[in-house]
This record gives sequence, structure tokens and C-alpha cells, in this order.
Amino acid sequence: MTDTLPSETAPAGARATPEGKSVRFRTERDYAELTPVHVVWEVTLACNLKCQHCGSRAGRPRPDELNTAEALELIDHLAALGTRELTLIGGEAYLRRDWIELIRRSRAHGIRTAVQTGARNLTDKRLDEAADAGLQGIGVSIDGLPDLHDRVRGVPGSYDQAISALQRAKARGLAVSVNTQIGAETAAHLPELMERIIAAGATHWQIQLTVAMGNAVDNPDLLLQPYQLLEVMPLLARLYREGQKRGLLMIVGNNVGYFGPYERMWRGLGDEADHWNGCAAGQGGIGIEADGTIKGCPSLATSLYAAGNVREMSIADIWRHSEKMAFGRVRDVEELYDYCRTCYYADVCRAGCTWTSESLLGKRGNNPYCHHRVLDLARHGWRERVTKVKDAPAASFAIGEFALVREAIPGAQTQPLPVRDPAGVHIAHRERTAAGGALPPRLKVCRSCDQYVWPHETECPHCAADLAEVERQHAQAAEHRRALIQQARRVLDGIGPA
Amino acid sequence: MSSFRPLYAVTITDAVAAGDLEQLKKLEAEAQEHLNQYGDIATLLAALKIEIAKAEA
Repeated sequence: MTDTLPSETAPAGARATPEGKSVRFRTERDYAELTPVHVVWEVTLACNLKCQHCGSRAGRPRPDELNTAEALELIDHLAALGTRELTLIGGEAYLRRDWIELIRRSRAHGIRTAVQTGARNLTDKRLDEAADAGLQGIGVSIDGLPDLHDRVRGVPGSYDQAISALQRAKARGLAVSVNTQIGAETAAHLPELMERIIAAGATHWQIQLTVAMGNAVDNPDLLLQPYQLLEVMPLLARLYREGQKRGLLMIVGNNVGYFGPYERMWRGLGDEADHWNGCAAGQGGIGIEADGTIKGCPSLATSLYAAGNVREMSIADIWRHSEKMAFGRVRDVEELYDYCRTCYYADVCRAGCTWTSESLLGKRGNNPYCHHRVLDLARHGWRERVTKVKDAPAASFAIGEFALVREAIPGAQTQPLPVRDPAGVHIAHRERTAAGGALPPRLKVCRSCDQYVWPHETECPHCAADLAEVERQHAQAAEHRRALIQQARRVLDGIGPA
Repeated sequence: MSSFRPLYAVTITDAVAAGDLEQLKKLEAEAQEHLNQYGDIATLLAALKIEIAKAEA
């Protein structure tokens, strides 16, 4: 399903995205003009689940959540800023009485609108009302097969309710997707879970790693250890390919990466020009807490990234002028440290997901949950694990602290990691616009090993291939494929539908 | 270019996989469907020619 914003129905100022691309896809203009394309809004902190990994420690509503008039006005302002997609979350979004009004207002602006939910007590009546108001999509969080899911979500029967919600939303014509967090126990569940969500009607499946925030700090055994990526990533790649054949598109979330052997395959969903280019917080999106607190990403720690409150200043001013919103626009490799500081991809990656790394280590700029890094360490006989050293406060979106331990892989012969000169890291020039935006670096693909390399390279730093020669061979093969596609299209169109 | 995929948000549901491989797979499925429904025309044509040639011999 494609749902770009056709110009005849889009509100003034709205922009179309390329055919086949999500409205969330950021165009060059979005980068240049700093458009908050996608907004994630915790409309209430009230929740009817008790998730052991909940970063926001949801349960009771915040004492001073935005009222209906404030919320509707905020949607108007987001539309004026150019927002094209709005995700309503909680807590549980539908525990807010006026959630249908919010959906209706968002849709009136032509904003793609969806809800992410745990789906407990998501009744037919609620679904009918939401669909009637124009809701376009529903994402259901499912973290494993019933025993694991119900345990992690803290409510027996929540798995069955989640699957039921998928089926009932599908029957109402909504886009139906699943988000799955990967923790220490999840991997073994994924193949069977994929079968079940396909059967329930899901077409898109976001995979993400559980992050050490809030309740997850209280339950550190839930966290995947970084070295487990050695097994998890090939499994995900296999499921990505299998899912594609069966109508389920796996979407790797912002904390699954980075630049390992599968980046070309899955980040751009087949468009290899679309690769990881750093945390987009405060550049392509906004996170809103139920009391009107604004952050560059919904997940970031409130104590570190609260950029302002819409009750005190306009969201446009917060977006454009707050330093805590703008951190991602002005940062550079100097703030990176440890492995990430001298990584080959340092200046395009910027240590991956800020939320993941900062929540874990108390400081952004070093991210052990990286496939490229895990593979490099393993080649030298090393692995990394995390261990909790400090609890998180009881507040919503609170972080604790974990120590990062580098140790020999049991039974492996270790070698020292190569010493890399920080001054030797490639820095990409970014031309800033008057709005403060900039186009990200664009890497090219080595056609021998399929890994990304900087555009200036002539020999692949990963496999030593002659990049020009393998590119020439690839271009020939690509031309052959294109010719075959055209020929097949002509033949099949000529004989009509089967 | 890229898309914002924060972890508390609903995932992208309005994108489709792109690229040559995806197109080749779709065309393969379409061609197979034709074959299943109408049979192998090329083989049928060859068989018809052989029978015609035999009949005319």
C-alpha cells in the first residue's frame, strides 16, 4: 500500500514524497528546511498494561496533561510546520477520552495518522470510532509468543488481545503492523511469531532492541547483550527475506544497525541510497509528552532533552531555536568516544540511536549495539556485554547507568584491535541552510562485499576490491536485469492478467 | 535520505519494497501464475509443430 500525499488533496504547504515511498521518507527539501516530518505524541501516560521494559513507566496519567483545546491547537501547529505523519501513543492512547477528536483533527489536515498500542481492551467500539474518524493505521506491540509476551507485558491474556486487535483492525481496512522489542529471550520466538502475525494480517513488522530506560533498568535481565547481535542479526536477515516473499515487510528500527552486511538490504527496503545517516532526533521528527513537553524524539530522557513546553512557547519556536532540540544538528565526531570515535563510519553514523546509547552509558557517542562493531570485535576474539551499576529514578523516561565490559569470547584467540587515529576519520562536509538543515552524507556500495564505503574510496576498505571495476560489472548486470524486467513486463502485459 | 523510525512509534506501513530484485520476484510470480492457468504455450507450440510436421510427412 502506498499513501503519499497527492497534491490535489494535500493541505497548502504539504509536500509529496516520491512514489512508493512512505510519507515519512525525508526528501532533500525536508533535510534542508528541517521539516518535522513525523511526530510521536504520548497523548496520555495512562496505561492498562504493566510492561517490565516500559521506558516511560506508564500507568497513571500525568497530573497536568494537555486539555482538548490545547491538544487540538497543537495539531494545527504541527500541520503548519509541515508534519506529514502523526503517531499517537501512550500509555495507551485510547484511554484518553478525546482521542477520537485528535485523530479527526489530524486527518483534517491530511496528516497520516496511526496509533501504536498494547491493545488491551481495544474494543470493537473503539476501533469503529477510530476508523470512522479516519485513523489509517494501527501498530500492535508484541514481544514474543504468549508466555514471554504476557510476562513482559505484565498482564495474562495480553498476547491474545494483541492478536485479536490485529485481526479486527485488518477487517476494518486499517494498515496493520507489529512492533517487536528484542530482548535477551526474544530471538527464539521470532520465527514462529512471524508466522502468527502474518496469519493475523500484519503487513509491516518493526524490529527494535529493548533499551535500558525506566522499567527496563529495573529488569536488566530483559536486555539483549551486545554480543548476542552475532546471532540475532543473521536471524533477522533470514526473516527479512522470508517475510518479503510472504507479504510482510520487516522495518528495522533506529536502534538496529549499523552498516553491517545487511544495511544495504533492509534500511532502504531495496533503495540502497537510503542508508543509516545518524540519529534524526530534532531534525526529522518530534516527540511530545502528554503535558506538552517537547523533545527531539519521543524516547529521549526527559531530564536531558526536554526542549520546552507548548504551554510556555510555541512549538515552532521550540523546534527552531531550542538547543536541546538542535543537538543533533550541530554535533560532530568530537563528541564520540571509545570504538565509535575512530570507526570507519563515525561521521555518518554518529554512534547510532542516541536514546539507546545514552540511556545505557549515561552519555551519547558510543554504542555497543552495532553489528559492524560486534563483528569487528569478534574477528579479534572480543565481545562486549553490559552490566547495571546504577538504578534509574522512578520518573518517566529516567535512565540509570550500565558499565560496558569488553572481554574475550570464550574459547577464542584474541588479538589487539587495530589502533586507529582519530584524525584519520573521514569527515563529510555538510552545507547548512539558513534554516539550519543539511543534507546527510551519501555513501556508495562496494559491489564485491555489499558494504557501504565513502564516495572518495577507490579500493574497498572492507574487502580490498577495485571499486570502479566491480561497479562496472554491477552496472552491466543491472542493465541486463532492467532489460529482462522490461521484456517480462511487455510479455505479461500483452497476454493480460492470469 | 532516510526515514525517522523511533521506537515508541507505529512503524512505517505505507512503504513497499523497491529495487530490481523485488520487481524480478513479482514478475516471476506473475509469470508462474500465467503458466499455472494457461499452461506452457512455448512447449505447446513446439508440440503442435511436430504433430503438424508428422501429419504432413
